[in-house]
Amino acid sequence: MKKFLIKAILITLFIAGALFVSFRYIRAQRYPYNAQTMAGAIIDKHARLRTLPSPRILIIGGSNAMFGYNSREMEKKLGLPVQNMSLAASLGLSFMLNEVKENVRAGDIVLFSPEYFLTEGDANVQRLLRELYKPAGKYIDYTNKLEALKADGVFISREIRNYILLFMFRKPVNTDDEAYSRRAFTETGDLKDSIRLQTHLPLRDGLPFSKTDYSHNIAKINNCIAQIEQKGAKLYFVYPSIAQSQYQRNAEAIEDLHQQFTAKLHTQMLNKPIDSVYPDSSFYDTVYHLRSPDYLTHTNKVTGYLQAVLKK
Amino acid sequence: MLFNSVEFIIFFLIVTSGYFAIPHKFRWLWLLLASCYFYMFFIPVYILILGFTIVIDYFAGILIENAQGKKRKAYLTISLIANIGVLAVFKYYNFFIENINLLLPAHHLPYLSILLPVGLSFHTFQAMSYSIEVYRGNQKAERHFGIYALYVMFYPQLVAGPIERPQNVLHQFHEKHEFSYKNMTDGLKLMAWGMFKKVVIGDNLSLMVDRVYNDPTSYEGVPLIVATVCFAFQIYCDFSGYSDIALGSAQTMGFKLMKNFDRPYFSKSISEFWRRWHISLSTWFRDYLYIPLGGNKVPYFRQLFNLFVVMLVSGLWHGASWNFIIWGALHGFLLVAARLRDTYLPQIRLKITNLFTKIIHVLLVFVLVDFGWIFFRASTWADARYIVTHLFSNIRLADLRNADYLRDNVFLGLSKQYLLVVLLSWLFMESVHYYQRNKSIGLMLATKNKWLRWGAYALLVTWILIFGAFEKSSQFIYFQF
Repeated sequence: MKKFLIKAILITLFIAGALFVSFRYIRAQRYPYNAQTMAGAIIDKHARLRTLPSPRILIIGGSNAMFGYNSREMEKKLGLPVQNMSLAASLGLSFMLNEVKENVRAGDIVLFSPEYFLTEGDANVQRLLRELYKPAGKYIDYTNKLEALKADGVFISREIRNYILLFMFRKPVNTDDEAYSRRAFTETGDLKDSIRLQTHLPLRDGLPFSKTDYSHNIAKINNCIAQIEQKGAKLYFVYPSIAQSQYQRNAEAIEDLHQQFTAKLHTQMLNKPIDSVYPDSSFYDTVYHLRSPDYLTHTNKVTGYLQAVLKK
Repeated sequence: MLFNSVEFIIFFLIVTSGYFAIPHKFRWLWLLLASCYFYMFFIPVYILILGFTIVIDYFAGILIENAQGKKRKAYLTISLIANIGVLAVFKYYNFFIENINLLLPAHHLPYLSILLPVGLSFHTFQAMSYSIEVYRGNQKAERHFGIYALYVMFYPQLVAGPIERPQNVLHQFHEKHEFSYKNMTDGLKLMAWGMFKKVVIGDNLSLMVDRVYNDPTSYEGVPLIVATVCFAFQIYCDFSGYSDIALGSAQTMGFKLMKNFDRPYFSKSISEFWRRWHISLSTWFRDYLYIPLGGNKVPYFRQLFNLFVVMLVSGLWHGASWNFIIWGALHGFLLVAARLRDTYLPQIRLKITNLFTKIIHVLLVFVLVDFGWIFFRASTWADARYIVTHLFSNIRLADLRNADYLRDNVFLGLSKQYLLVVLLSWLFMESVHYYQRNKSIGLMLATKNKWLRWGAYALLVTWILIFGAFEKSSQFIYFQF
């Protein structure tokens, strides 16, 4: 048994050591690049948010919100500074809600626009954000220490995998699409107009979604609403932009979700799902990413809703 | 608890070290407690169902052994009814009601709001084999309740087999297993090999398969073919990977479980496929259904009928849905057709004379089996019908020169580079399988320099850690049965 234990410990240490050293090397090599991907935009968004005086408007949500708003237009019409904090649905519901809970101040207004699938996101994306922006570690909900350890392990293995593929095939594995890089964002956290004007591409992410019981997710949102209100801020819910074909395809599931929100959500919903439906040709590359000029239509609509509630 | 999880690694280390650390007389208790914990990781309350059948079968075994004449049969019947009853309620009741409601819409019968207990069909079949073997006199009734419970609940094979026979396993729980360097290292190697198949090949292929099969009507032609072929290897890697981990983890403690797979996609006939695929289930049906129905001793056409019925039941065993029944019927039809051909038209059978004809046979069997997998994998009958009718629609070879087309319809969500890594892993697995036709790769490695050997093991583990799909701990497909 002694012989086996010695060998087992040695081989485990060897593998763990090799992975750790590889990861350290890759981090030194790749992180200047990773910080320039879309994930790196979290640094800029938070940097500006910290400088804005309250009351402010914070837009949170998935990539629908990143593509769907012109914050400067909203600032002009509402007379309040606006910061679009949204990045991607893969950040997950808890991450987005924790991020806003942590950063909201008295008087702030939060515009919450999650995608129709209220997922908990991708642990790897969350872990990458933590790597790039340390405070993001507080936004990740790990159920226990083992969960956090697993996320670390998977992250290290993914980074090594990506680097090996990059090395083997001598080209970036990560997408280098301009729309998904840090330089694609304006100061207010929206996508730049030059990106939005790009041609209409075949729409991806048109997967069907089924009726699901979202009670647990809605309870999380309600918990966030309560905490935000305790701080003297307010959260409003708005449905995400969606392509006509995707809406029609999932009308039943969307209606079901709307019924759940109507019955259980502890805040005002600014619109109905149908109000955020646009023709397929208004979208850039997925069924959620609005392009020019309809993102302005969407911005104006939502600004109108906000004006109405702010007057009250 | 999933084998491909960090929790399992911790569990395995504790249970295996604990097993060798405690005295032999307490080991059964240690393993039983560990198995209970393992099972309760899914839905804790369902352990009561297991407990119910264990108590019934334990006493049934003793009563069968002590009784004479008709009473023996009566006790066996009670045991079988209890086991089949549990299956009927938890697995088949809603399916039955669904069909009754379809036939008689005026009488809407209520559904049961229950989840299928993990691995229910596996442990009930294992429990039934005990009662039957005691009845047949091939196995003495187990007097030690804890050991009998362990026979049903032994964690490596509790939720997805192999479906063991009491003659093979029960005595092993009484035997004292000393720590053996060979058993430990061989077991760990088998576990690593199973993990490689599951997380590097199976789970990565599942990303491609799920994309198409979760939304089949958005595709036609090439992507349906690619996803269907990928599923054949996904399910093999998933299930045989599970079996390897089960066998390996048992072997580390000195237990020997039965082999469940033997390179099934190298089969040259459908009947050979069933001798190589899920061997523990095929032999269960052979021993406890086909032979009791008369086996090969009944008239020829009755044999064919029995064969078809056995495959139909095998389909139903897999799941309570028409898709599984059709899948079973399809295999039954193929087996019957092959026997009829061998009897009446042997001249049309392509003789296996050289490597080329062997490859033709292997490919033909693969195509037929893979066609059957469509019904197995599709979520609904409508999906299966759509896939079958659109499998060859709209195929234009010219499209394969278009990079966008390839990305959306062939690579199915994996990057070109990553797909290449998965294909290389698959090729490696098949090469190992091919090599193992005649000799064990373990024995071959054992003759090599120790640095080369341990280097190979370290490389395999590192490959698993880097290229395994660990983002989401994906369930084993056969857990649902």
